[in-house]
Order: sequence, then C-alpha cells, then structure tokens
Amino acid sequence: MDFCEALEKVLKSNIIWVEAQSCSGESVMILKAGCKGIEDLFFHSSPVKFISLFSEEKCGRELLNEVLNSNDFILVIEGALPQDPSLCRIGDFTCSDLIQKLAEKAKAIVAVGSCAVNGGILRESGANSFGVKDLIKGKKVYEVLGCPASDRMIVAAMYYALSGGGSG
Amino acid sequence: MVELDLTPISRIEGHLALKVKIENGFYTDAKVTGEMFRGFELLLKGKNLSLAPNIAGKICGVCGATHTLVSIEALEMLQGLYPTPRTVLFRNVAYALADIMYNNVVVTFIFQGIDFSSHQVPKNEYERGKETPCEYKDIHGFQKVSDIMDELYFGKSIFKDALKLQTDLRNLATLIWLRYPQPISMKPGSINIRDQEAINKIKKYLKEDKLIDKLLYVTAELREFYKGVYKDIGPNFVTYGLLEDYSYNADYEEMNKWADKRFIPPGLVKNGELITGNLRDILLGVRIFTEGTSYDEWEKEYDKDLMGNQLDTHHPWNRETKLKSRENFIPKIVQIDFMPTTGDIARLYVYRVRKGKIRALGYEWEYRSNDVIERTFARMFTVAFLKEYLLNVEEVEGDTNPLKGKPYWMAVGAHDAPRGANAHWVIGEGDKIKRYQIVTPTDRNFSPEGPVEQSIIGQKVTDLNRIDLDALRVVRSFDPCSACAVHVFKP
Repeated sequence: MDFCEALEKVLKSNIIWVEAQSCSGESVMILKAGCKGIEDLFFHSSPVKFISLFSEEKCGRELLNEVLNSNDFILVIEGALPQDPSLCRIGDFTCSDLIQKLAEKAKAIVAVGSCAVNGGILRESGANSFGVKDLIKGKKVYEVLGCPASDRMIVAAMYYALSGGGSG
Repeated sequence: MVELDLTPISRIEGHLALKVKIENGFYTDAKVTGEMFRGFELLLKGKNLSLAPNIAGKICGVCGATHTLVSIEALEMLQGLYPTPRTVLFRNVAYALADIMYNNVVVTFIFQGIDFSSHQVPKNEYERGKETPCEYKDIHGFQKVSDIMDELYFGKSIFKDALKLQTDLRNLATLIWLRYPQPISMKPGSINIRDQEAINKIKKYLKEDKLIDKLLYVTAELREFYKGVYKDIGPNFVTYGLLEDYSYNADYEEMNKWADKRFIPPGLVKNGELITGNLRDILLGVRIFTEGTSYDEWEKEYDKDLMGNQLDTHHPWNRETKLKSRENFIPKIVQIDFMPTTGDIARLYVYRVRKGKIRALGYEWEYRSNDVIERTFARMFTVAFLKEYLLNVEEVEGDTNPLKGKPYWMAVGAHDAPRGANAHWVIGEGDKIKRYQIVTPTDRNFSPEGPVEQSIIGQKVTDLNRIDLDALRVVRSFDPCSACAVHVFKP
C-alpha cells in the first residue's frame, strides 16, 4: 500500500488534531498536496472532518463545541504539555484538560513529533514539559518521533493505530 | 453592547485569544493575547553557542527557516565568521522560497482566503461580487469577483492551486535547506550545498510556473473590491530588510553598510516619513515593556553597546525575563515611542521609499493604506516580487568556506521573517550563551495596544449578521504566529 492509499483509509475516520505547546511543524508537514483527492479529503468533506486550529473554518466556542461533540475520531496531538497546565490554554480549557477529555472518546490516540512524544526540547525549558503518554493513562498512545515528524510516518502511525496496532 | 470571545482563533499558527466589544455597529474594544508559553530563552541560556541555531530553529515550524537564519547571523557577528558570496546566494534563494514565498501563499489562501470565500462572505458582499466584473480575467480566467469567492473555499480550485504551489515552493527550498522546517544545511559563515544544480532547478520551475501570476491577479481583484472597507492605521512601519547582499560581513560596526544593501533595505517609517534606514539605529530603538503582559520587570545590566551607544533598560540586550502571571505571554514591543506595523507591507513601503518603483509580473505596486486588504495584497505581491528576484539571480562561483572577521561578545541577528522584523540578541560568555533574547514580528504586531488592536478598535462591522468576521479578517491579515510570539522566557 502506498502513502496515498493509507491516507485515504485513515481519512475514513474523523481526525481531531490538537496543538498543545507546539510550533505547528507537524501541521506544516502534513499540509502538502500530492495525493489524488487529498485536498478534498483533508478539509471539510462530509462526513469526514479534519479539525485542527490550523485549518478550521470556525473559531471560538463554536469550534470548541464542534470538537467536543465529535464522534468516531482519531485524536492527534502535536506539541508538549507543560507541568503547569495554565501555560497552555485553548479557550476555556487548558491544553491538558481538553486532550484528556477528547482522549476518553477517541478511537485512537497518536502523538506526533518529539514534543508530543516526550516533551522534546521543551523538557529543558522553564515549562518543564512532558509528552502525551504521561498525561493519558489507561489508553494506548501511538507515537511518532522526529522534529518535525515526517508526514509519511504520521499517516503510517494513524493507519497502524486504527488497525489495532497489535498490543503495542 | 455585545461582547464577543473568539478564542481560540483558527487558521493562524498556534494559540491566540481575542475578545472584542461591539457598540452601535463598531468595534469599540479589542484584547488580543497569547495563550501558550514555551520557554525558549531559558533553554538557550548556558548552552554552547554553537547549539543556538538548532535550538532557536525549533521556535517555529511555520516560519521554518527564519529563526535558524537569524540565529546564524547573530553567531556570525559574535564569532566573526562571514559567508562567501556563494553561501549568501544559496541562503537567499532558499529563504526567498521558504520561508517567504511558501508562507505567504499559505497565509493568503489556506488561512485568509476562506474569509473571502462565498461560504463566509456576507450576502451583500457576495451580491456586490456578482456585479463586479474582474479587471484581469485574461490572466486568471474569472469573470466576476463572485467567481473568485466561489473558488477560495477549502478544496475549491484556487485553494487547491495554492496548496500545490506552497508544497512545491517548500520542496524547492528543501533542495538547499535539506530539511524544512528547520534547515540543517546552514552553519555560521557557511552552508552545505548538496545539490549543485539546485538553483537551476528552481529557476526552471519558476520559468514554467503560471500559478504565481494567477494568484497575484486574483488577489489584485480583491484589492480593488475591498478598497476602503477596512480601517487604515496609517503608514507606521518597521523592517530589518530582506536577503543579504554579497558584501554582507556581519560586523556590528559596519552593520549600516551591509544591511543597507539588502535586496529589500531596512527602514523605520513614522507617519509616512522614513526616520532612518540604519539597521543598527533601528535595533537600538527596540524596547520591551511589561504592562499588559505576564512578565515582570528586570534590572539594567549594560549601559552601552560595543560602539558606545546608549542602551535603554528596556532594550533586549538588557532584558532578563520573569513571569509574574498567566494572562498574556506576548510581550509589549515599542520602537522608542511608537508601535509600527511590520510585515510585507512595511517592506514594500520601505523599498518604494528607498529604492524606487516596484514592479512584478506586470503589476506596479503603489502604497494605498495600512489595512486588511492592503496587508493581504502586499503578502501575495511579495511572492510575485520574489519570483522575479529568483528568476534574475545569477550563479556565483567560488567556495563556501567561512571568512574570518572580528568577533564580539554582544551580538544581534536581525532579518525579516515573512511576518516582519525578527531579531535575536545574544550575549556570549566564552563559548556559552549568557543571554538570548528574541523579538518576533508577531510580538510587535500583536503587542497590547499594538497594530492589531488599533486596527480592530474603530472598525465598522460590515455586516451585523457576522459580527465576528471583520475582527477575524484583521487578525489574519497580520499573519500571526503565536509560537514565535510566545517563544519566551523563564516562568
């Protein structure tokens, strides 16, 4: 199977892509033309939704409600989580709260980029940040290292996570 | 009175909060704040100087090269290592492609374009679009402005054109950068060139390209259509300039000389008048204030720079930063006593004043105002302008070994990012970083009471059924990059 086929299968599920303490490096990596139909699949084709702050039509509470009311989605997290949750906020939520809430419902969780995997470079910063698996307990977190993580590996990980991914 | 909270704002980089008040059909208040903190300057402190470009490069994945480049230029000053013309050529070519051109296409069409698409424009605006014939239909093929609006939305033809173009521009830049974001080919005084044919390949692509012309003239239609709709905050601008001349040598004492020869020269403009084109003077005039932000005051450590110029307490070389609260992680940046806009429009304005007429792809740019559509048009015009620049660059022979010059222990790298003036101030201690301060263009534009808030307050709500839209168009027209803006400091 090639990259575009895997992507097409992955995009049969909704994707909620949350940026915590990120630089959007992985969002930029994934924002590439190339696969046939990727442009349609990626953005707002119904019923599939790729919701990320990076590419979303709506703003504010309306956007957050859409995110919180989503079902049947893969949760993708980009960026690290700070020790003090108030150092990263998305609207009324801290990044950590929002991610934990979404993780309960997510059918797969993928941490993309070194920051999301283990805090990356921000481990040493004043924020003493850590990765997603230290936040979400009791659910498997699939991880893609790299700074930035490659778009191909991100899609591969989403595909693997959706297909059960073995026992991990 | 209506209060509206637009947090989180989408289609920008990162986490930005915006609250506005609306009264009698006008925005009467606006508060824009940064919602995320990362702590880069603490990270850099105490590290080996040689690590700075790699670490600073991780500030932002959207402006994927600027922080590496600016950090490298700061190190070149600090260590007295200068690039040869061949190195400068390769850096210029790659930097023009990505960051500048790729970013500007993304922001104009992937981010901003949606706000001007038929899914988003108010009914009246769309009706007016249906009645407005296009001026350049021979170039882009659209009959009416409403036809353009129809194609700007996600997945539509203009959106797809832009998505493809920005992908290609990034891939071309990667021939030189070897990785993007976060180039790995650059080092102080040099660059690793893996593909000797890179520049020919880039020129070949651009010769065949038609998309840039098309997107330029699509944006030109919008420029006419939205003329006078948005608030003009006046010609107050700052740019550090863009793309080095081959005479670049990173020496602080000679900064004025080499920076002056940048393809787009530096400049500071107040009320339409060029106050100075001297980059060193512009940089000495940067002030960081704490009011309205989460940061605490600090003590002055240095009275003078290494040439004996006075340093203000609030100058970045003096800044040591502490967090005191959590409300706003964007610092307040002032240029001595005013808050100029930075970005594409500032660069074009200064170029026009200092170097004369600006034409690209058959379009002659003249300044009109500092408003939503003008900032947006300047963004796409810059892509066209740099396309012409790249088509005209010529190969430079020679090696890429660093040239030796005069080292300093205090240094600054300053070079425009797509979003505007970006600078890193470094104080070295042996081979270690004693202090590292970063002031990004988003810090300037999104400062408390800065250009963005000024642009929203007093703006008429163009359609009362969409009271959010104008404020969002304003924010996106400044191309915020919150990752860059909140790179900072020790909590």
